[in-house]
Amino acid sequence: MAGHQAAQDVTVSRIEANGVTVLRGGRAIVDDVTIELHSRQFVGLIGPNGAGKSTLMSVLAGLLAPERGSVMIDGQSLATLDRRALAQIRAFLPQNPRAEWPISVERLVALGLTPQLPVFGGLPETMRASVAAALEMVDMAEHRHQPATTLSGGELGRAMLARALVGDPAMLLADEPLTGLDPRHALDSVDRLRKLADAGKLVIASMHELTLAARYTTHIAVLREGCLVAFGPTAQTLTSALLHQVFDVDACVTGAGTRTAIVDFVPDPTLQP
Amino acid sequence: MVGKVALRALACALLLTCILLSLGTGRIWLEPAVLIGSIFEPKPSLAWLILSELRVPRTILGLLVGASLGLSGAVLQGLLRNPLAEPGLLGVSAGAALGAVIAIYFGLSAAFALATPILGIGGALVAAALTLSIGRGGTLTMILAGAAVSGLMGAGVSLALNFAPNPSAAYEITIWLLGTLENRDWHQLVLAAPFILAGWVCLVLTMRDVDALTLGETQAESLGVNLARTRLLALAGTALSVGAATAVTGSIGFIGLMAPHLVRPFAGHQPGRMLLPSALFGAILLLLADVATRIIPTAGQEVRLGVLTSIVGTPFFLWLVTRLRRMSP
Repeated sequence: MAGHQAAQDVTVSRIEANGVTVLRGGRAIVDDVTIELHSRQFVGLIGPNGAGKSTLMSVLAGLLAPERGSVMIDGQSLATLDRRALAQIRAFLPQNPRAEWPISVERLVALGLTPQLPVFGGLPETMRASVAAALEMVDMAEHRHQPATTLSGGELGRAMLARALVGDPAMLLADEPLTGLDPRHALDSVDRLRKLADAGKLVIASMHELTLAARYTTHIAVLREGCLVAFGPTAQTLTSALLHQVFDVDACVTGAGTRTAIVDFVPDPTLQP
Repeated sequence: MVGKVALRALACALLLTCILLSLGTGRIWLEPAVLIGSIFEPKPSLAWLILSELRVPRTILGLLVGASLGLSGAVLQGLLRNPLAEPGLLGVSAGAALGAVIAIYFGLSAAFALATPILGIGGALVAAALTLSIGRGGTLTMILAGAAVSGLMGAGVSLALNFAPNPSAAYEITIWLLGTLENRDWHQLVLAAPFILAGWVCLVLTMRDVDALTLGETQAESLGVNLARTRLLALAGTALSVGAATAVTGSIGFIGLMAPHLVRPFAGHQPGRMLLPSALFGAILLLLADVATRIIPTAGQEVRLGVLTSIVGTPFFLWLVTRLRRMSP
């Protein structure tokens, strides 16, 4: 019942990239990518190292202006959207986010409210409640007074997720959020991302964990050498043929799009002794 | 909450004590009763003359200079996310020194007393413009540009010393470089104050940005922080406030480095919350050091303020470096 209510309250938001091209040293590291993403999707962005995943994420988040093409968020061009307005619509988590000073976890999470805050003054009372709720959501309430620099990798990842979600953005872009997490924390994190999508947000995450991608994402976008080679619902898109084409390894995909899916890589038989 | 209020009250009481000490101490010691009497019943007595012509401008200047150093030190440490950053890093102090030295070298200061601070402020602004135009690419580029500009301005000062027309000019330049609040009057204060206050406004406007930079540059940008604007505000604010301060007093080291470190634990390590306490402690430290220069018995001249802050500051700096080394893995 509650979920149904939430679904009706959420307005549909979308990101559209049109012919996005990013050049570095004359080479296109993102090459003519056109894609349209909606709320309620959990999009796994996969591809080999150097395929341009991080660059594409930065462009979609509005942190990097492409040389050619355009990105629209909810029908408005990123080039004209105000920084603070954009910051309230989407949250971005870079690879391996870290805290530079030993501030408390509570204050770290409160930094996520920066675009909502006035120029001076402390945190308003209503925002304190959102900080507490965000900490509760990622099970970090008992760590709220701990210095952020003393957290373990998994705890810091959760604190950073709370930081990203505390302002209740409609979209979350996370660059390799599962890297460096042990199996239990990786499962928890990816499950949390899926629940956000189910609750009506648009979640985009680049990842190398193909089994987790096969189990939890709703959609898969595949980059190779800067080009978008495939995009679609996980069950139909994530196939052995695609992985062979993109990663140059023989792969065995079973049950993509279900919670028991497995992606396994098969050694090249010619290399067997 | 009680602890926070008590800390604030303590800091304010400390500042007030320093102000009273600074007004009272000197070659002629003024009793607190005389001080208060002169403030509330101004009559042209000797005590009143000493206060209005010497001690009050000196104390106000000390407050402004110390607060500028502390504030810009805190902003720069937050911006660069480096506890070793300080106002001298961006070449601003060296630029101010070069401007002032040029005024002394060409005898302008002998002809017109305010030539030294005016050229000093000019030098600080030129140095800041140079740093900004070379180092507009990013934070690291800005530090490197600051180091280069600092070196260039320092070379200019050395050149002036090298070709000093006579030993007394070289002596005058050297003594000026050592930094002091001695014999500063209302004219110099009135000249520097508008620049210093304008600089403070720029620096304080970076408060939210340096907070967000705790998360690193990428996340800060994703939170709507315009990093180019933040860098510009920090640099312009430092150039205006520290530049004008150095132009009037000469170089005073270590206050900008020390003040943020003293307040950091009490502000929960959050860069934005450190700005005002750091300004307050910069003022306290500078007033204390200035009072000390007047108390320390010497045969002839007073101990120069810049010399004293460096002597006291160096052990602190070394302690800081070793402590940081122990803390990091």
